[in-house]
Amino acid sequence: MDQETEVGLDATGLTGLYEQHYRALVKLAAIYVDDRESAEEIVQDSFVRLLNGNYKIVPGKEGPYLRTMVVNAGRSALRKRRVRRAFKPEPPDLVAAAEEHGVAATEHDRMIGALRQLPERQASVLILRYYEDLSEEDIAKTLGIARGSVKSHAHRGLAKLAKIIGEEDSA
Amino acid sequence: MTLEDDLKNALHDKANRIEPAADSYVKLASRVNTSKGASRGGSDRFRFLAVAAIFVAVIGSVGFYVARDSGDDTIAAGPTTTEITLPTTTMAPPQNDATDLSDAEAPPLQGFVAGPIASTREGAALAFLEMLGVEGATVTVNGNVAEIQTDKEDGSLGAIVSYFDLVSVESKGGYAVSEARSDNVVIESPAAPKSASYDIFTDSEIAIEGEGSGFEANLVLRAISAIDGTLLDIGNATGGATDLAPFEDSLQVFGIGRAWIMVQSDGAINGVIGSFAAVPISYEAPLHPAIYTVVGVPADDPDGGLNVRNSPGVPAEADATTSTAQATGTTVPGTDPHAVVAVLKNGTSDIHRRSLIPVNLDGQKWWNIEVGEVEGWVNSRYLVDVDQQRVDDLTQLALDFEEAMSGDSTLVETLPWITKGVGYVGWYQNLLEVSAPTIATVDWWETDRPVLEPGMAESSGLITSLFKFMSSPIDDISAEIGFEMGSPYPLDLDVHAELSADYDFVTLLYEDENAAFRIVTLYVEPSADGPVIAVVATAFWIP
Repeated sequence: MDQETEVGLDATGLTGLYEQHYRALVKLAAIYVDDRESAEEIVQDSFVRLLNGNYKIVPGKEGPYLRTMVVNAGRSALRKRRVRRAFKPEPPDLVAAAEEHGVAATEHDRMIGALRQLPERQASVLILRYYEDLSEEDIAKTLGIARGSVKSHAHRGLAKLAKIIGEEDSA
Repeated sequence: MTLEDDLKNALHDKANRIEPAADSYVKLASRVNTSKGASRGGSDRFRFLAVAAIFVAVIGSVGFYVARDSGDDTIAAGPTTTEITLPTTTMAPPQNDATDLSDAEAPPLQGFVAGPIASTREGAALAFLEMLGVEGATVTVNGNVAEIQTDKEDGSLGAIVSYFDLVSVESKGGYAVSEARSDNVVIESPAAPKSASYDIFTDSEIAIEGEGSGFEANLVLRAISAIDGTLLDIGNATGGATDLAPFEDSLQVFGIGRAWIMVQSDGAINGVIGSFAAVPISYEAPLHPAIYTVVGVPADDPDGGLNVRNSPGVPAEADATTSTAQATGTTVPGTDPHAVVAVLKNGTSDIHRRSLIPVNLDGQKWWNIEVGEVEGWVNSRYLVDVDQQRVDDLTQLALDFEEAMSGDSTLVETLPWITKGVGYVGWYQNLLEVSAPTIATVDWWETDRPVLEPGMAESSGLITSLFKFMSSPIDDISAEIGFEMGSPYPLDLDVHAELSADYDFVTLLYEDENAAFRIVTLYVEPSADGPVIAVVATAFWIP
């Protein structure tokens, strides 16, 4: 069995983790939030928690821990955004003005926007599957759910995504 | 294309648009050490590590880095040891360009960046390479042509493998590299020094065009801070595999700064520097498209407002003509560099900064501004970013509201309520109770309010107490009617203010450990005395 060690705080350990994971995790976090600053805040918080939290982690396995932390923080951000927006309707005149000025989202932005309307767990399953290319087993470990749940979340998430996109197209 | 394909493409597109900031490692290292209360390395060390990490990441991001002994055509590819053979390339040294040797003919422009300064051209070249992240090389300068040899482990020098035209200039008693050229890479735009400055109103993308060749036609583009050598952004472009071919790409920078744009042939081999070209730029990327308003000019100001001048600063002694011109807002004829071109009264708005770079004079910051047809320089102490001020005011109002409602109820009376009565919305009912007919845009709230979804339920404690409070006549507000959060759980408060055309609003989002939310949104109207709370909306949401 691999020996568990406390994640090192020394500069070399931090540098190694940074080199290996930071950039990719910022990109992962960016799917949940809009701007770089928020994405980096999520990732930096995860690094700080990992490095200062006395975690006992098998050497070389820090990546999945960090990914789980980032996904959880991303889900939290998604929740907050959804709740905030649900209770903050835009005045119709502002929406119309935005469209007049050609601020319509690109197709990719539409897809990300639709993804963010899904329940957080469905969204995270789809992100981990179609962005991180994780296996069902790894997705289950990352999210702390059963493999069967991964299948059902993916299936339902895709179905709902198709519905949202379809409704937008027909609107 | 299937939905899955579309989703995959969208996810990767979204992720690809984001890159970590150049100083992210330094910030992270600082946070880690601050949190632990221990510091195991100085900032210089972290900066070095950051640069090293980025440099390694850069090499790694290319996806293929090779190790090669100079003069040997057989290379070992890392991290595996697969041996491949590259075609032998004979690189002829570029001819010295006599015009480049003349400092007089290649002067740095005012305010323009140049490489690190050293007492010799060799020193300047070495410092320049170090700034770019290149180490372990010896440079011999012949005119402007730098012959670069790798330092071998036994102390000897490898063969001359790279030649660069490092255009040097004399600067502050020493030499500095002001531009780098090579046969394999040509940067046409941004060209040094013609298009070096970026206007505040352009986006932060720096378009880079030129010709180049590299291994598998790959070229690496970097923006490197001229201040501390950190990597600001990196990208890849496709040039030619053997012959020069056009490339174009863009890099993104933030804020104000000076940087080197470096385009390098892929395939940096065992310390041998891949051909590159580099040009310095200064940039001003838009941070915040703020619009400023004149505030705080004293009522008895002799000029009657904020003077807009031809150049930053004030003349030593203003003459009577100037004073007259200031008072009338007319242009002063003549060549006075500080002539007043306009006077802006308190409240004048729609003022844009033309440059983010202020000029500091005698402790005062002068901004180059534009308002209507007028351009000029003003003392920045009388300009306020109104939008930012509104956001700050809203945030403070929300925090005051929070303190009043959850703690000292006597503070309730001190909050700025709308005088004719406060509107209140609770999700448990469809009724919007508004006793103030002046709330002109209530209609959109009623017609466009999102449908209550399953799972959104009222919180009896929250809604009831707030309802009691809001249902009371404004004159009856007393300390007895307070606001109970009604939660035994620790709550994480997130305050988020936003501006809109009709209403400004600020949301207090309370999240408990079960990820349930209590939401209070304050809709605020402007008034002569500042923002007043017009509508309070509350909800409770269980995931």
